[in-house]
Amino acid sequence: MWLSVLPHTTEVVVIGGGIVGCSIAYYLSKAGVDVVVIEKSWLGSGASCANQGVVGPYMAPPPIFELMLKSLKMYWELSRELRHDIGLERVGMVIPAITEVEVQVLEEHSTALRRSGGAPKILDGNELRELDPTFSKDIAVAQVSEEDCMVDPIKVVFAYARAASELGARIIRFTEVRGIKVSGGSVKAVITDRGEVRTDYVVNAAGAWAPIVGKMIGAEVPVYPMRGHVLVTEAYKYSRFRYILDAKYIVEAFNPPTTEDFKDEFSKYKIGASLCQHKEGNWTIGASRDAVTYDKDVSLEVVKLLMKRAVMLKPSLRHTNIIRVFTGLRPYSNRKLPIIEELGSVEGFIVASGHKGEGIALAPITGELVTELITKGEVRDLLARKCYELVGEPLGKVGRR
Amino acid sequence: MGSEWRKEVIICRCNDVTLKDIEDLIDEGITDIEEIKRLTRIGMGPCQGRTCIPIVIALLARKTRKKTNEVGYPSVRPPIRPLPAELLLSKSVKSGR
Repeated sequence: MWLSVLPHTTEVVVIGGGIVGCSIAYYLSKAGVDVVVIEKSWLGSGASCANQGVVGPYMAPPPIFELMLKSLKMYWELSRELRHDIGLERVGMVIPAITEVEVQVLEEHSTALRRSGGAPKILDGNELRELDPTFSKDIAVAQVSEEDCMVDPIKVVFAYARAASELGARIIRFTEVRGIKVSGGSVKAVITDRGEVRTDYVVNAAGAWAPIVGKMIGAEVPVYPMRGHVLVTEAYKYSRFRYILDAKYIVEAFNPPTTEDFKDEFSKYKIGASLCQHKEGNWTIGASRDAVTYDKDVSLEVVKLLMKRAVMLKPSLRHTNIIRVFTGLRPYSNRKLPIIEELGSVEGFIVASGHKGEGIALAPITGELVTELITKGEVRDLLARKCYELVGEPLGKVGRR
Repeated sequence: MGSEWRKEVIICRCNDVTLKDIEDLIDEGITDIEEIKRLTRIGMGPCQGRTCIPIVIALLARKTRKKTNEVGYPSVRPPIRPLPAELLLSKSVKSGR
């Protein structure tokens, strides 16, 4: 049994047992660091269980593209290295565009990916429908790529957690962090509803709840919860062509420069279709960015618009039955890249959040970067440093102990 | 007495989850019904847990020596019954909330 009781002392406490927290725990324990993960509910109960599991570099503009490619490579290594299945599967991606503005966004996106060394293909609507006739006749252009994958995020969470604990990490669930003890300007202990753990470092991997953890030491963590809806259909005969991502998704998720003309009924809830048939046969239909709230209620208006947009790209989805609708809270921020840095005036308090819709895709590289930060005193990874420098955002700090 | 038969007992008919699958997780220490649901997909098929969830709750209660009401019930999601997508696309469905 790998689930344990709260110890008295450790080197690193990771707050949050989602995909990011468990990834950090894995890479830290692999580096020989003593680590305790504290999760207030069950493992993966936040955004890690409320997403579509896509690891699709070709949907993301540079430099997120580069970070995702690296993370994807790590996922392939993990699928061999971890003893438990993570459901990694190469599915490829197709990004269709209908209107003139969407086509323009998509073409600029593809050009940017090519400049970063990617090899996306551009097909016109007819070429696409020759490959899969179920795509809408309205689609003018589509970007097609091969490397994009999917994982089963909950399986990743548990595979990381099990592997970390085999290496000595302690995974503590159903335990809530109540406060963080600071003395002489640095982190000393984490107080929970089940007792206290002395520690040198605290990693705030609480996802959308990271600002609440930040407040415990008086730090402003610039993260807020962004709700999203996903619809699930019954299982149907397997007919997947690729992961289908709307050109509008690129606009709503990544705000490229050419987006002033993008106002329509979908943009109120930042809807861009994200459609995929999973191995089990069910389709999932996302994605909205519909409210800044901790309220996980379902909105019928958002559900209807999601369905409407989905059939604009893939009309056959009209004939499915919806068995489930769920919402989740993404850890949003106004930065382009995830926040991975020692933040605030307290030494030893590291934030790893703000992954927005890319938490699953970027979990492996986040785990590695936080591990470098703690074991080497700085992030040495050249690719990551270049990416963060490029968009002018901080990464790292910590230069002691 | 072997335990091979546990592989033959289906708990969730939608997703072919066996008694062994569930008991192995509980023995590993994964005793929360939400975790078991996510890892095995019980309750996520067309019946949405109507067959399997009560059985899993009983199994959990027995193995963890809890009362069934202490085991809890996994989150319930709309819609209550499978909903034709066509209905969501029709103009007559009013969006209250």
